Amino acid sequence: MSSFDLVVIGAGPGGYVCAIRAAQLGLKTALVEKRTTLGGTCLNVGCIPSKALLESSEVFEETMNHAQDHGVVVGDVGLDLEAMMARKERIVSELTGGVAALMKKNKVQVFEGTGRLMSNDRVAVVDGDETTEIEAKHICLAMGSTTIDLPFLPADGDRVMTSTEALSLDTVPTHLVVIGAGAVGLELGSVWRRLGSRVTVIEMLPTITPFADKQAAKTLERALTEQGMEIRLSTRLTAAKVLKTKVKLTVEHDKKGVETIDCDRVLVAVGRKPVTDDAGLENAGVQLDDAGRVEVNDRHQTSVPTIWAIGDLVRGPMLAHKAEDEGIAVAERIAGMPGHVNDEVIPNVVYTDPELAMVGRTEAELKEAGVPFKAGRFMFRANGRAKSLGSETGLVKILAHTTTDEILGVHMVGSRVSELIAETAVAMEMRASAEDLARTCHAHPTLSEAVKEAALAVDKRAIHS
Amino acid sequence: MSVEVTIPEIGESISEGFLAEWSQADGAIVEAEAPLLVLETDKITMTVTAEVAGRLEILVGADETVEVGQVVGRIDPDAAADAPDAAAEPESTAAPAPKAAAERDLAGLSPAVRRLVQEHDLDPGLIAGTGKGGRILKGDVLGFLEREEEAPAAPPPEQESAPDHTPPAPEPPPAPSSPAGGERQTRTPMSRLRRRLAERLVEVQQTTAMLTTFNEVDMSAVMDLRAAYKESFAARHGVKLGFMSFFVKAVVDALKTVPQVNAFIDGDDIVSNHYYDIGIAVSSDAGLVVPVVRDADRLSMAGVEAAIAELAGKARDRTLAIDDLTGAVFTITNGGIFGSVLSTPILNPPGSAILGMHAIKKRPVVVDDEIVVRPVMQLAMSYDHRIIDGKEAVTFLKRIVDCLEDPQRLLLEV
Repeated sequence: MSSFDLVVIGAGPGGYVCAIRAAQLGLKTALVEKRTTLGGTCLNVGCIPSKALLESSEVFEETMNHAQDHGVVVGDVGLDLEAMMARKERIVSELTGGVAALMKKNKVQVFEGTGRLMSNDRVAVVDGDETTEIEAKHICLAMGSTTIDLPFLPADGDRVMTSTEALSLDTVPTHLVVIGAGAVGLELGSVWRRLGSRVTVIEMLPTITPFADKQAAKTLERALTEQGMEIRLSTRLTAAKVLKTKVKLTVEHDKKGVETIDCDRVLVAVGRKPVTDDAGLENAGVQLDDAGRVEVNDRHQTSVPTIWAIGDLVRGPMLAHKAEDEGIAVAERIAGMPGHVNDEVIPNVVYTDPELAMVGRTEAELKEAGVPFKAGRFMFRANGRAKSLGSETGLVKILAHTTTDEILGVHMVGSRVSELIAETAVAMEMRASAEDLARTCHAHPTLSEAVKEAALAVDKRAIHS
Repeated sequence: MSVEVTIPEIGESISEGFLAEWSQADGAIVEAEAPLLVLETDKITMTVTAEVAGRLEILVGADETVEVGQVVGRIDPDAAADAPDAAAEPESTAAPAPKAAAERDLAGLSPAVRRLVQEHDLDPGLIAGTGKGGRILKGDVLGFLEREEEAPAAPPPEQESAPDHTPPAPEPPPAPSSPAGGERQTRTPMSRLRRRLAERLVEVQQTTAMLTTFNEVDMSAVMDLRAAYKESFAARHGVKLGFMSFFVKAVVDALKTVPQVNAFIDGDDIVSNHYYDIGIAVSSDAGLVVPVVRDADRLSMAGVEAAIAELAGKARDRTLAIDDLTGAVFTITNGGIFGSVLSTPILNPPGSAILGMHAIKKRPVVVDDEIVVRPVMQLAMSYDHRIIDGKEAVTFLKRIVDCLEDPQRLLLEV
């Protein structure tokens, strides 16, 4: 039986990064993955393919509707959905192939099959009828998460879809209803609206993106509504009937009462749950917490000290970059190094147009914690670069401690703010003050000037507003 | 005729210091009493002020080691007359000051910290950084400034009930100081205080015959007394009734009972002290300091508590004067506040003995042939065996135990 210092189960961004870091540190490392390609949900059916389609659909919509704003005259604009999907597939296969090459380069041995704990130091790799057992000093669980079904509307992969199918349709739906106004629902809703669908988003809560700052969420909601997305807040899906070519949905609004919606496709995007059922956790005595996630301590050790767990399996936001950082920290800890993850500074992005990006705490969270803060806001409509891009929607808001001026949260809505959030995350990780950002020279004309202006606005001395 | 700027006498055992910075630029017109330079010694940082108004001429630059009595600059008083309103208008001296600040090493400071340091003419070396890898944050400077403002206006000791100079807690709280880059080893130069501390500790080990004796004390009586009177004591005296006053009083009593402990060897002589100045080891941001409670025999319990609170406040604000730190005949150190249950302290010369307090733990104790649970503290006393015999050391420590287990002895002196 082959034996390893570390066996990582799950080759998503958390798992494969953990394996590379461990190999860099000289640990003999194996990676177990049930998919035929590496990269997990993120690369195969998540972040990456959705970004590819978002970009393509944006080009389509820009050409259709906004080329003329720039004085560009185009003839007939058409959609070749098959080519668009092929481009997406190519990007995905290049990246998953890249991960496989990284494994080879770092001498991480990859096992194809479902990884199952047999004991606290033994993993069975089950691939069809074949089972290979390997021995491990340490095990890192990184099986990730899967979509949550609605009990009365189970996904059938056709009329009722999860995000996976919504990334691979061969025709543009006439009317797509999205259940859940989180990142996945709004991003895929945007893709299909741009490509011609009527899109209705049903959300139980009174706000979209409930994790975001209220002002940012409201700004994004208004922008999406203006683009023609129908967003129904405080609305509950109460019944559904799946017919051959359409779905009849009954929804109930808090005040407006009951209504029926007919559509040809439904995307259920109400959240994800950790994958804990097929991993043999009970064989090793790995315990779950009350929410059904794998329970870990501050160092990401499970109830069995040599078994570690990261990413969507454990507490915290289900984000690829959070899983990556945890994977690196776990590899370093196994190698006897300190390892570091700062849960307070994990950026979060929704890739709609405009984008929403945030890091740190919201106004509501700070108020609830009784932390005194000042807010500085700057609107993109007063930013030269935003004007030239034709995207004046949105703002940058910086929240800083009243006494120390330390940055506690940053919230952005606007074009390309997914890239702008990084500088504020660096600032927060260094525990910088708003004044530190305000006193850092930003290139002109760029969108990043809005960050500087918002930092100035914390001290009520913004120049351009 | 120029007036010389000399390094003043700073205490009995200190002959040199470190000229950390000039607060005024060369050639500046200074007012009388204006701060001229900052002098660092092993234990304190002090500011030397101008004796007269005039034009300053700097002879010895910053970052130099200087001796007591050394001339480091001159002030030409005639120049003050040439510069009308120099004394009346502080603004006129403000102009050269930023130059001094600008010359300081500002590299590595964040922009907001740089601005504050220049605006307030601060030495960043004096500000403790709580950011990654010890970086100074804006909040650290603001907290430093706030403490600076409070420090000169320290309230008189009798009003000072456990002064709280804690700056507003920054959010989120400082992260545990694991090295930022995950290095396995980092190297930083020792501070002057740490270097001097290291020298002195080794010196004591080499020049004395140090030995430690142990005992344990049942703290129930002291704890009961505290519980019963803590509120009325605080209401009457304005200070909290802590454990330290009991220990200080017990030590004074023991010193009176065993006077050999209150003595030290100087060359071939034995010097006996007839006063009771007790040093209390305090851990501060700057390191370990041992401020002294003067004439503890003449202080009430409340007087001892107030004196300790005042000294602790000064240690925190780094405003301890050299007089606060010298002349202890006996030292008390409390490893218990960090959770130690037993450790052997090292002598603090010229004192010939030091008492180590430890954490109070509930332990099974046999009282009247029954096993009962009692709050017990281990005591350790290190002493210089050259002057104190074993019998005296044990008697001394036993006397402390007796006084603490039956505090009424302190009242009746029996």
